Order: sequence, then structure tokens, then C-alpha cells
Amino acid sequence: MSDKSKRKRAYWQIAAMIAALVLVSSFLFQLVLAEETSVKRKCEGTEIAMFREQLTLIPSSNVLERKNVEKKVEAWETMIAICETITPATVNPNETPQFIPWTPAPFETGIFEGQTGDIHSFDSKIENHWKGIVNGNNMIVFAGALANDPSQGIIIIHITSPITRKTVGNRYLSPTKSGALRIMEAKGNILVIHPSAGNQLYFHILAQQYVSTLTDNPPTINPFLITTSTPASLPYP
Amino acid sequence: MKSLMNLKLSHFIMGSFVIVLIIPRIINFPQMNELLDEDPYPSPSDKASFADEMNDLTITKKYLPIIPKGPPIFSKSWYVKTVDTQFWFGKGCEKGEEDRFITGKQDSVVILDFNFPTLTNGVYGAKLFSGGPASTSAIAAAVEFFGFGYYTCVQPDTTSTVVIAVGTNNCNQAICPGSISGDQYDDHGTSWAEMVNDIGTYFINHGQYPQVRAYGASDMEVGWNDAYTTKQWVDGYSSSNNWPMLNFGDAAGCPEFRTYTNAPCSNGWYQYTIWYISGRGGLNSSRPLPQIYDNGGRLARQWYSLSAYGYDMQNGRLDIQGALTQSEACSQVGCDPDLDNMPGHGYYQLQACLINDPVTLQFLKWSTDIGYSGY
Repeated sequence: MSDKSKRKRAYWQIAAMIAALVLVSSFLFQLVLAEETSVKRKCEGTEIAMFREQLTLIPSSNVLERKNVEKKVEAWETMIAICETITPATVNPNETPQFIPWTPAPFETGIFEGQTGDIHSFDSKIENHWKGIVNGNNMIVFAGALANDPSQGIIIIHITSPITRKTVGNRYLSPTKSGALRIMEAKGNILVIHPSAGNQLYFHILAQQYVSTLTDNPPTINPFLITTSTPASLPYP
Repeated sequence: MKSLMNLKLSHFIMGSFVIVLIIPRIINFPQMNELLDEDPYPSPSDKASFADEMNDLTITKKYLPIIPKGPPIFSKSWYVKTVDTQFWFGKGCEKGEEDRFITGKQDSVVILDFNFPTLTNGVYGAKLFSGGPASTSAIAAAVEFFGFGYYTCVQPDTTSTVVIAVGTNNCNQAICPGSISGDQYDDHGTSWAEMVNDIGTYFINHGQYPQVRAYGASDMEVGWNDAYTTKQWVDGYSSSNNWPMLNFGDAAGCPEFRTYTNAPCSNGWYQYTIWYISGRGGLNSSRPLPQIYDNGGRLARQWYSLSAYGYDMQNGRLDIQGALTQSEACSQVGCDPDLDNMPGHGYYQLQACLINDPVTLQFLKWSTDIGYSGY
């Protein structure tokens, strides 16, 4: 083999070695880079995107509104920067969190106007409600009429156990369509109810039924054993 | 020859560089990630540019068949009866465990409805469904513990996420005695937004974000208040919020078909006002997660009509987040037998209505069902 071809071969060998070295080191560099990128937390979510989108929608003439949203985008940029630097919290399952004690307000009893936010506006229009403690349970009796048929009176009962805090309830349409019901007074276990048009009604709170006189004493029921109707339909048809 | 050899050598080295630099990028598939992140059904704000593009086209439009995904696994939402932090830590943990045991990434919403707004001793808050009222700071603590419980119990699953929607409603003083007066709604909305900001900051500072997030929320019902006062609350919230808000209210009395006009709803409301408090076409931070309770699909059709109203009369369809049902509450305290949709039914009803019309076409991401919390 001539010197020239030997030299040529040596060149090629050196070139191949350099290329291999570059190849390997670059690959390693890329892997390290990829590793670093994957370690960085993804904190930019839909929230900042929503505000950026708002900015594109607000006309430039509306300076005040634009400024307000720009402030929110800035706040989010700061929050994202903080989020990216924070290591995700590690959880110690044996550590008991420091809970904050809370004392609920006592259960008030009596007759009150309106409702308590429990009954949807499109369900029933509630005139008033009675609150009392019955057999140790907190009981609320709402009186009113169906929203889609104001001539149909309704009594809605919610009972909460102070021990388990479970709430159960039921609904009782008035026997006749004589308008919205209103609770006038409680006499023992019976509520005296006036429909907006029609004869006075009595509702026995222990038996959870309408009765004809104040002296009626139908068998009482355990509200927590009442099974309310469960929908027959399957959750996913 | 020598220069040719050098050229080949340099080519070889450059080629190696190119291959080495490009291969890992291809492995990471950045473009593919972008494609995956891209919303196949763009939000209303994209409508203008899309419309421009469509104007340039003179070809006949052909629609590919749309195969909707199945409903997401529904989450449980709660009418809140206590702000006891230990109780809510437990509820959050239950939710975290549920998500951990389900294969794959879960993305769900949990509404914690704290009932109507209150002002007690100069401090804003909400009534709760028993034992209240509670101040915004007590509510914030309960929500933070729910998030903490979720985060604790969902591990080692680091991909599933939960949005905790911190809810109130718009029930006025006449209907819900003890509620705030009309002129306090704007302030209450602002303080609710500040409370949600604090909760969100807590999740960020404790490394729980983005797995745990807090949004504002309100059950804004047409029959509970006038449109003006309800708008005040939304404007108050939007003035200082860093987090979105969900309107989980109703659209009582609104039409059930495409109106091409601003049609009236119940109690002096119009489609415009419900559209306004449900996002204002992306101009505020509210998004609807409507009550779809009716077995016959009436409520779903009303929200379809509202979304179409947004497209026809405003700047784009509504960006509806999902469907809310109340089958749990119905099984607890009873309800109108026509209003006890199961979660899957509610989701399908709304999805079917939206998918039937190209102008309202979108896929809903959440399904949630509300009931009374224990304790």
C-alpha cells in the first residue's frame, strides 16, 4: 500500500472518529436537554389562555377593560413562573393535617318567610317554611306551589339527622288545586296551612300526611326509612 | 482530490450534526403535541377568521360524520352543609382515590355549592345549606382542604386533575331571607373572586396546581333574581378574578329552538342576559355548566337555543363546559319526577342538541351530579 493511500485511509479514520465522537456527544447533550425540559413543570394552562383570548376580543378603544385584563395576564405570568419553580408537594400519608375547627350556627326554629335556597326557582315557588326539631332531627317544612302550575300547592319536607348529618325528604302535593300553600301556625304535631284559594288544610309532621282535623293521629313514620323513588333509567343509555 | 476529500468530510460532520440535532426533536414530536393541544372545535373568538376563510371558498361543503365520544365519568358535586375542614379533606380524599383507581388521566369538576350570598358583621360569605352562614375565609379553608385531600389521595397519579368550582347563587332577599341586598351584589362578586384568587394561589404555592384548581361558580337562576342584579355580581367577579367562573344555573322560560333574535325568557330576562352572565362571548370569565335536569330534554334545548343566539346575534356560540344533573339530590330529598335526569342522560341530551347544528357544535368535557353533602 502506498504512503498516499495510507495517509488517505488515516484521514478517513480520523474523520470517522471525530464524526462518531460528535454524534455520541451531541446525542448525549440532546438527551440531557430533553431530561431538563421534561423536569420543568407544565404550569401554563387554560386560565392564562382565557385571559389572552379576552384581550383579543376587547376592542382597543376600551382602554379600561383592556388594562384590567392585561393585569390578569401579568398576574398569571408571575403565577406560572412561581409554579414552575415549585417542586410538586410530596405527600406523607401518615401526617395528619392541622384542621381548622368550625362551629355551626344553632338550628333556629319557628315559621320563616321564603325559603332557604334549597328549592330551585323553576321547581316550586315557596311562600314560607317551618323549622322544628322532631324526634331529635332537624326538620324543615316548605309550603308553596309548583312553579309550572301555581294552582297546585305543595309541601316539601327536608329532615337532617344531627348525628349522621344525612338529609332525607319528600314532597306532598295538596289534595286539591287551590293555589299556593302557606303555613299559618304549628299546633302540636300539626301544621295549619292556608291555600291561597280554598279551605284550610292540616299537615301532620310525624305522619307526613294531610289530615282532616287537628285531632287526627295517624301512625308516625321514621323519615330515615322512607325510600324515595329512584329513577328507573340507567345512567348511561 | 484533497479538497474533495475535505469537502466530503465536512459534509459528513455537518450531516451528523443535522441528524443528531433533528432526530431527538422528531422523537419528541413537538408538532404532534401542538396538534393534540389544538381544540378541534375552536372557541367563539375564532369565528371571525373562520368565517373569512369560508367566504373565500366556493366549493361545496362536505361534512365528515361526527362520532361523539362517550360521556365522561361523572363526578359528584355537593350542596354544602358545613365548612368543617376535616370533613372536606375526607371528601377530597374520596375523590382523589376514585380518580387514582380509574385507569388513565381523569379530568373532572366538583361544584361545592355554598348557597346564597350573605353579609354578616361586615364580612361577605354564603349561607350554607345548614349551620351557616360562613365567611369567605372559612369557605376558602374548606375548599383548600378539599384540594389538599384530593392531592394527597390521588398520588401517585400525577396526571388526573380536578377543578373545584366554589359556588354561590343569586337568590334574592325576598325569596331567600338573609341574602344580601341588590346593591351589594357587585361587591360580593368582587370578594368572591378575591377568595377564589386566594385559594388558587394556595394551590400554586403548595405545589398542587395544576392538578388541583379552583374556579368561582354561581347557580344563577332566572326565577331567583332580576337580570340586572345578577349581571352586577358577574361584573364584580370579572373585575378582579384570576380564575374562571362557572354558571351552573338555568334558562327558565327561554325558547327551545334557534330564534335568530334576542328572545324573552322568564322573569324579565332575555337570552342576551343569560348569554352575558355565561361568558359574554369570551369577554368575561364566566362559562356555562348548565342544569340539565328535565327528562324530556327541555333544558338542553334551551341551552342549545342560547348557544345559537350567541352565534347568530353576538360574537360566537357559548363555550359550554358540561352538564349538571341532580339525581343524587332527588334520591335524597325527592324532586319533581320530571327533573331527575341521571348524569349520562343529561350529558347526552345537551351533547345531542349541540352536535345537531354546526353553529353550536362542540364536545362537552364534564358531567357532574349534585347532592347534599353529609355532616
